[in-house]
Amino acid sequence: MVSSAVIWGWGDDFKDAKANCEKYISIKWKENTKEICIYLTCRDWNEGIGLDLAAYTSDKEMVGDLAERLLYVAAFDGNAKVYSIRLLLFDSMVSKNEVCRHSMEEVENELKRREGLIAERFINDPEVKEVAQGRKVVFIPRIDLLCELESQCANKLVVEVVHENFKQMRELLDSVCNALIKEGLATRVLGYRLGKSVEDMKVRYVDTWGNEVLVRIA
Amino acid sequence: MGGGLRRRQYENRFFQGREVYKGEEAEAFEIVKKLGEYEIRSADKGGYELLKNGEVVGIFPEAKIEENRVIFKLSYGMNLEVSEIGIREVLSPEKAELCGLIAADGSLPQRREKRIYEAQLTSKDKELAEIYTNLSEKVYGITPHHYLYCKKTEGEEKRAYHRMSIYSKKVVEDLRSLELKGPDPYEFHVPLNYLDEEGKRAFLKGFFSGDGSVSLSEGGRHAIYFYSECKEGLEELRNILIDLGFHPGKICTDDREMIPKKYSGPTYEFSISEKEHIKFIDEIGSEREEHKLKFQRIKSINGKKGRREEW
Amino acid sequence: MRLMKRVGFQKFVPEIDATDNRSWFWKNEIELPEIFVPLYQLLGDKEILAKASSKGLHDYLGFNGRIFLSTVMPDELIDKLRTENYFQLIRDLKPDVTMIPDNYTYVDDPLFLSWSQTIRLLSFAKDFLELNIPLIGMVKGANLLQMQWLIQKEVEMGYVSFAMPARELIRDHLLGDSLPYVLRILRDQKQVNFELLLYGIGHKLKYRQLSYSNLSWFLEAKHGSYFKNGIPYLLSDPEVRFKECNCEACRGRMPQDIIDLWLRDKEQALTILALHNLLDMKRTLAGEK
Repeated sequence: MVSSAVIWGWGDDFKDAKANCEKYISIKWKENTKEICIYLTCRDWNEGIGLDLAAYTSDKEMVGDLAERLLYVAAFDGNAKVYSIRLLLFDSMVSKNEVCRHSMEEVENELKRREGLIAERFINDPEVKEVAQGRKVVFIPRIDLLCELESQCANKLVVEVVHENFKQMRELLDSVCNALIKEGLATRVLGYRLGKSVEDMKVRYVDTWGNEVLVRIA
Repeated sequence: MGGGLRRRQYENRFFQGREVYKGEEAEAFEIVKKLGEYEIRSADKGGYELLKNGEVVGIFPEAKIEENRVIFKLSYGMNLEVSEIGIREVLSPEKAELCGLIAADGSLPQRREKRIYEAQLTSKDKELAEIYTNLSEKVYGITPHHYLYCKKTEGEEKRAYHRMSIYSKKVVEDLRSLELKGPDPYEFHVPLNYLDEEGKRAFLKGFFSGDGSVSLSEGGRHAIYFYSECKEGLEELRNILIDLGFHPGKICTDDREMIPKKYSGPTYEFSISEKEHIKFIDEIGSEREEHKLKFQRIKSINGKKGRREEW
Repeated sequence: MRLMKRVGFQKFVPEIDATDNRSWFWKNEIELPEIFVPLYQLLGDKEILAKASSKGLHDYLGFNGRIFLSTVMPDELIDKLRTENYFQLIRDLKPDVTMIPDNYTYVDDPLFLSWSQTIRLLSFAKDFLELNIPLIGMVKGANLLQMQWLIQKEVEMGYVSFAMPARELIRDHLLGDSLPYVLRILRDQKQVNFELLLYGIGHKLKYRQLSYSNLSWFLEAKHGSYFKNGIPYLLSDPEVRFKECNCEACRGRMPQDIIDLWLRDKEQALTILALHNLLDMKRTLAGEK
């Protein structure tokens, strides 16, 4: 990576997003810069679903415009608070490594398969055992779902949603993807994938409530 | 040190306030409260006097008398708290809530060349915008300017974000003196030294209204979270919840898989234990309508669950 | 009377914190000809005072430039120290230059109090003539008459370099009246080629032909202020945010880069910002005629 900066944050004027991007790029773009990533960190206002958007481009003239349009899609169509817009300049084509090509059916099947694996893996976790003691244990995994979109005005777009409720996540993701296509930022969805394998997950919170033990995994 | 106004020195360092007069001993005063070396008495002509070691150090038109302390109203949403421990300035609940809102969804930008000083809140909720307006009027006597960011597509309802802006150097400097925002522009801090218990609740309510979430799942389970990209600020929030008798979950990072996240700082979060959701709803709450609707449902779910467990 | 030479203040003399080595800028290879060291900080820390007294300030700080001892301090300390206490401290600490002792003169005090303090200050000014190091006279007073009287008496004793504690005057909106008057009084002392330093001001004011010194080594960096031409801006102010700076502290960074650094390494960001502000003040004021 060459450089990275948060050029806009919540509280800045919406119209500053484009201007700040252009000013930053005009100084930081070097001859060896191959690709820029415009990365938005957001959260849906209603359910608190984590929503991140990334657009990769090699055209420095497009950066400001892309950033502004992504901001409006996230804020209005995604109904999300945009915490920050970060620009990252890379000296290689990084977007090639950002690949999501599974179908939604494959994702759903994988999620079902993971339910059993998670229960098996964490039922004997010391933190869980200490509290379980005959109670019913409910595992609530955090789901991390990525979506890759094809684009004509960028090298690639990627959307990531993170939450515990898959149905709500899907609704948000579909809404954002449709908006990206409608706005001309993307042409179609190429595929999905789940982030984080079960092996990489850890117990996050253990909560007891009546006869249940709620174990949040991420 | 050693210059300007002595009164200001004392106010800043010893809170001895304004020495007004020592005379008029013949007037009858009723001692309202004694707190350590301080005495509060009411005057026949109305108002209250604050005395330290027998000397009048301040006169106030109003006072709120509580069991262990007395609160006098100052200006700009500040109160003077007198207790056995001593005296200090505390934020009024209105000002504390205003600060919480700004800490979550607001900012204090400045354009020096254009002499623009702004205290602003940006929210999609019209109700929050109205709350901000009401609080601003109560604390500073200023009505914020109201701007809209809009997006309208054919056939769709117009969506808008509300930007409420107070343009006042005095207000911005007052809020900056609380070290609420900054030094990094996207950082926030809790003005701990200025919060009594009521203030802590009000601050939390303001912050949660902006950066909190309440989610309900299909199984009837509910989750309450605080989020921020500023870990220090979030830790301070968590600590004041602990002060208020809560047992919040530990602060966790909200990880992502995307490549750019590896080069960015994480987002942080902590949750409120399900056991304490009702306590949170009753003692802290939120100004957002959708939070309030979910709180009602949580209370109803918990009520039914409680009855099931009794059986 | 003693014939004194001007101290020869730089346009901006930074004040360091003797108890916080983050403020010892020369350790970052920043060239500093002179610094202020506040005496009250040393008095507040017995261990550090002992170390500094045994070695002298130059050896303790590892600093080769000129050290000016600042006697501006809280009122409670002012009352405790006598001439002999000051002399002992100065002998041990070995500064190159010292201010004469501070006093307190409040505009809302009864006049007899501020006059007695002013006379006490003058008494110190006379005692300090015995010292064999350059001296900085004080400009203080609860009203213009006291300031005028004090200046005239100090000039009669031979003082030519003066410091005017100004932080509280600015805060209470009193500097605008008193400073022009003080400058006029000094100019009226025709036999004196005076110099005046505004003490406790960390950013540029409109007044020219003055020197400045701050009260806090952070120079508003702690509040995220970034100096440009001696004026503080927020890091996110569009006027400065994306403009690169090639000073020895920033080395090509722009305020945007400091914003990001703050998220990763707060201490480093604070140091760079404080250093940048210091260098900007020096450069800006040195460029003034």
